[in-house]
Amino acid sequence: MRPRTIRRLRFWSQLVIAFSLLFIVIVEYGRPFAVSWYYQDEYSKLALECDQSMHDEAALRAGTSGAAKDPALEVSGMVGLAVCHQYDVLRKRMLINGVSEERLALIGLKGLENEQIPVNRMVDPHRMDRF
Amino acid sequence: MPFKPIGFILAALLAAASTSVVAENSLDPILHKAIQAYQVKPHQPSERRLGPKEKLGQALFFDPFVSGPKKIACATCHVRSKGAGDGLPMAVGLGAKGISTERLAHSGAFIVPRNALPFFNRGSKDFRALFWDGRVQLGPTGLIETPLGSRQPAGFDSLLAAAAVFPPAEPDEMLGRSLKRGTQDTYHAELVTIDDEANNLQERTLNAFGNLVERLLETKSHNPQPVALQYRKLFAEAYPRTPLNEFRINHVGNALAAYIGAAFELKPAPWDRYVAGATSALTPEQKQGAFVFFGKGRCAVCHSGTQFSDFRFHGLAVPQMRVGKHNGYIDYGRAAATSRGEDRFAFRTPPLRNVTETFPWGHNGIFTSLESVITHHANPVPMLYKAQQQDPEEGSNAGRLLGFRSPILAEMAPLSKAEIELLMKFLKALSSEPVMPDSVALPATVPSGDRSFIRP
Ligand code: HEC
Ligand code: HEC
Repeated sequence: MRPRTIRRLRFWSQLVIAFSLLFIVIVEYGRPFAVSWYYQDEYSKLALECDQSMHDEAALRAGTSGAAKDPALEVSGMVGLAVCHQYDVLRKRMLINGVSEERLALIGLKGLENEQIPVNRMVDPHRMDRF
Repeated sequence: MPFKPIGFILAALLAAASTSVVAENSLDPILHKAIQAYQVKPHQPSERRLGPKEKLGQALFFDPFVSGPKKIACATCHVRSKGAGDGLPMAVGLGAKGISTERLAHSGAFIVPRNALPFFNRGSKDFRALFWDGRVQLGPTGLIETPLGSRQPAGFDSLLAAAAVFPPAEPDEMLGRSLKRGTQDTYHAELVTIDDEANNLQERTLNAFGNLVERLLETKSHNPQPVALQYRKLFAEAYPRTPLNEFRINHVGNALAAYIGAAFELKPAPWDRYVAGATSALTPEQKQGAFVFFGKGRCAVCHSGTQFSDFRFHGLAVPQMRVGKHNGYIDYGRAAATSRGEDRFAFRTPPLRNVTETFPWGHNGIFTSLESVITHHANPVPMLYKAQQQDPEEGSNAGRLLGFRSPILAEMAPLSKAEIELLMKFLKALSSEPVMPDSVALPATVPSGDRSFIRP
């Protein structure tokens, strides 16, 4: 091979390796960081709202309030649970973008503040049997 | 030289990393589930025109000839441009002149201590209870029930028709009182011909019904006044098979109902187009508002169905303002119609179509903004407190009012200011114009020739 070709090859291969490393750094570290930074407020807000709507729904289903067990009230509770769906969608998207479970749990807890249960355990069944 | 590709590749990498983290979190599928769960149907207006029966109703609606002293018409309080109400907290009955705020200039006038109700879609069968207290309603078996009890006359086509003949028989609204209790301007004249009228609602109402038909048609006269001649013609065209001496109050009611049903039926609102499938009919914020309305706000538990009312009765602990249907100082609402203690202070859930147009709000018009009425559902304390500051007597009632507050309201999730804004935007999506244009709905004149109340 001509020395010139070798020099070129070396240059290009170094460039390709450098970019690949950069790509890995951005995708593995930069992206999750950017995504969790950008969506953390929304995420913890949805986590809190979902938590609240689950409490409401469980209460309405049990009919323990002063209001008689009212089918329309139960429906409103179910509609209210839809924020848990939004929460779930955001959660899955954040996971796909490399945000770790642990980081998500932390953001969620920040929203719930004094709740000591990890968010995923509360949310996965979408409803609770206690309130 | 390699710097150009580097910049390009970097940009591409960043773009790849950040694409589609969260696409538009579309609310449509969720809303459509809610619509299904609540079985909400869109409003579909029917073909409406002014036939002979509607024409008779139109004349009766705008003609003060129908009232005792011939000074007030339905159109005085049910003004087309005021959302078919009058724009006042409480209606001003006999003893005043003009329409809407013009009527406030007459301090001696009779007050009808309730906010005038609009007429939108009142021709629809959805309305199972009329007036704030539902005193005209469909019973469990579908029979029309009114304050006349078993003496309710027959022959009414609809609930609206039965309700429409009560205002002309209400002393403060249209009928008037005896000369002992007022002036010529408030005198019931020949519409009441019994003694002790003040104390006998059923007797007086039936008496007024009969006398009103007689005033309109002079059935026994061979030489009737020109007004009566015109009404005879209108009645004969509306009911071609009914002879003159067989006209009764139900013919008046059926004609009024035909006109009200036709003139105030609404075009589909953005909400109806959305329910029917037009996803873009609502703005994203209105969709979020709908989501609060059907979900955590619990609004749709009471404001349900096509007209956004369950046609049931609930207490909201609305301050009384020391006016009312009982002894002039208190309004027991639903209990007036049922005589049941537990129904005190409950009022019919107001239908919400065009609610953005019907300022002011509440059964006594105490709410001057939509925001204040929505907040009051969740927290009645500020309004009750304000009322007490203005009038210490109010405070003595507050505990009672709270005791009769609907327990459903305790289930409303706390709403943020932003969510209340969203709800108000959603309510805007329930508004639409009447199908019939003003040019058709307003008559050129009325049989008595008094055109004071023919206004858009
Ligand atoms: C003095 C003002 C005034 C006049 C005149 C008047 N109304 Fe009303 N109307 C009201 C008020 C106030 C209400 C609410 C009263 C209540 O619920 O107790 C009302 C309610 C109604 C309702 C019930 C609507 C609903 O949604 O339940 C009907 C129907 C009605 N009026 C028809 C008429 C007709 C027909 C006339 C003429 C014959 C008429 N009104 C004349 C003030 C008036
Ligand atoms: C418990 C049943 C109930 C629930 C739940 C409810 N409302 Fe109401 N609403 C009523 C009643 C009853 C009134 C009339 C009260 C009065 O004037 O005394 C009313 C009045 C209103 C009015 C004024 C209408 C007018 O024409 O004067 C608006 C607007 C309204 N509600 C919107 C809402 C919204 C938005 C929600 C949800 C946040 C809601 N309501 C939840 C029963 C309910």
